[in-house]
Amino acid sequence: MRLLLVLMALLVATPVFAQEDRGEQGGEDAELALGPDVESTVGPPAGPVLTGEALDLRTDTLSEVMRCPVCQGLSINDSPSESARNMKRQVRAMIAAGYDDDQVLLYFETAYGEFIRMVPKAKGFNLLVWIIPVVGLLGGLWLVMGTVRRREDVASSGALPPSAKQKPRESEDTLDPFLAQVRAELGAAAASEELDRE
Amino acid sequence: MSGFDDFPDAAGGGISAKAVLVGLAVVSPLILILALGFGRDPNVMDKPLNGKQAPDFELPRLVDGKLTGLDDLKGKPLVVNFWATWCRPCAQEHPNLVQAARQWGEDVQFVGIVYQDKNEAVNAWLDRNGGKAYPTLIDINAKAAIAYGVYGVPETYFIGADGVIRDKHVGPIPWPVLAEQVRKLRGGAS
Repeated sequence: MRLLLVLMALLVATPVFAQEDRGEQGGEDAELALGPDVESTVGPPAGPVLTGEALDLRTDTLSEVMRCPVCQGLSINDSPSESARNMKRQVRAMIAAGYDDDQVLLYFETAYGEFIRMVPKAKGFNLLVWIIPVVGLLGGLWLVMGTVRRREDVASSGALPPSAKQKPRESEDTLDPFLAQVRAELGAAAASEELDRE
Repeated sequence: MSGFDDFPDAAGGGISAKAVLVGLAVVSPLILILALGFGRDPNVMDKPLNGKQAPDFELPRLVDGKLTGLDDLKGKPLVVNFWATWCRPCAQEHPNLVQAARQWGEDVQFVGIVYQDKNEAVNAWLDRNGGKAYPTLIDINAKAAIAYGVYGVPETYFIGADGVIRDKHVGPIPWPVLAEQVRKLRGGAS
C-alpha cells in the first residue's frame, strides 16, 4: 500500500519535474526583459500596456496561435517544452511592454518565418487552403441537388428512368441464355403464386 | 427493384461528365498541394534571417558575467554556435569548432551561446572537452536564440564583418562544411 502511494506521488510529481527549466533563470527582471532588436524589428509599442490577469489572458490567447518549433503541431501555449515556455515568456514581455498582437507575431515571424503561425496567412498559395474546402462543399451541394432534382423529375413524370427500361435487360438476356431462362422461370413461378393467392 | 435501379447515373452508364469535371476541379489542387508537401525535405528549415542584419544580443560571459554584445564582437566575421551540454550532437561537432577557432581565430571570431543550460554544467563540460577556445555566453531565457530563430541545438550562424547573416547550419556541423563557410567569411581565402 505504501509502495502504491509512493508510486502515485511520483506520477503526480512527474509533470512538475517536466516543467523545470534547464537553463539559467534571471529572476523577475529577466522574465519581462525584451529580446534583442524588438523595437528595430517591429517599431515602437502600438498597443496598451497590460498587467495582471489581462496580461496573462492575452499572453495565453496569443500563444495559442503560435507554433512550438520543437513539437508536433502544438502551440507554445499547449507545449510543456522549455523552448515553448521561453517563447511564451518573450510574448508576455512584449505584451507587458505595450506591443500589440501583430507586432508580437511579426517579431517571431522575422526569426522563424511563417512556420511560427499555427494558421497560415490567407494570401498567395495559402489561399488554396481556404478556397478548396468551400469549392468542394459547393460542388458537392450542386451534385446532390442535381441528383435529387433528376430523381424528382423521373418520379413526377411517372416514367421509368432509362436504366430501368427493359432494353438493357433484354440485351443482357440475349447475350446470356441461361439468365433469360432463369428469369422466365421466376416470372412463371411468380405468376402461378399470384393465381394461387387469388 | 434493386436500389441501383433508382439511381440513374449509377446503373445507367456511369457518372455524368459534369460530376467528373467537378470532382477533378476539387481533387486536382488537393493532389498538387499534397505532392508539393510530400516533395519537400522535412529536414530543410527556413532561413528567413539569411541576408539580414544579425540580431544584436547582449549576454553575460560564462567566465566573468560581463555583458557582451554583437558590437563587442564585430569588426571580424563571426561564427555563432548555439549549443548545450545536454545535446549529444553538440559534443560531436565541438572538436571541429575548437579546431577552426584555433586555425582561423585571427580572422574570424568564434562565439558559443549556451542554450537552456546551467553555468556549472557548462564549465565542467568545457573542462572535460578541450577547454575554452573561444568566448561562451549564457542565453538567459533563450532571448537571443528566439531572436535568431533557433529551433534546437546545435545551430551555427555565419555572420559577415558587416553584421549581416550569410548562412546558418542546422545540426552538428561537419568539418568540410565549417571549413567552407569560414573560407567564404574570410573572403575566399583558405
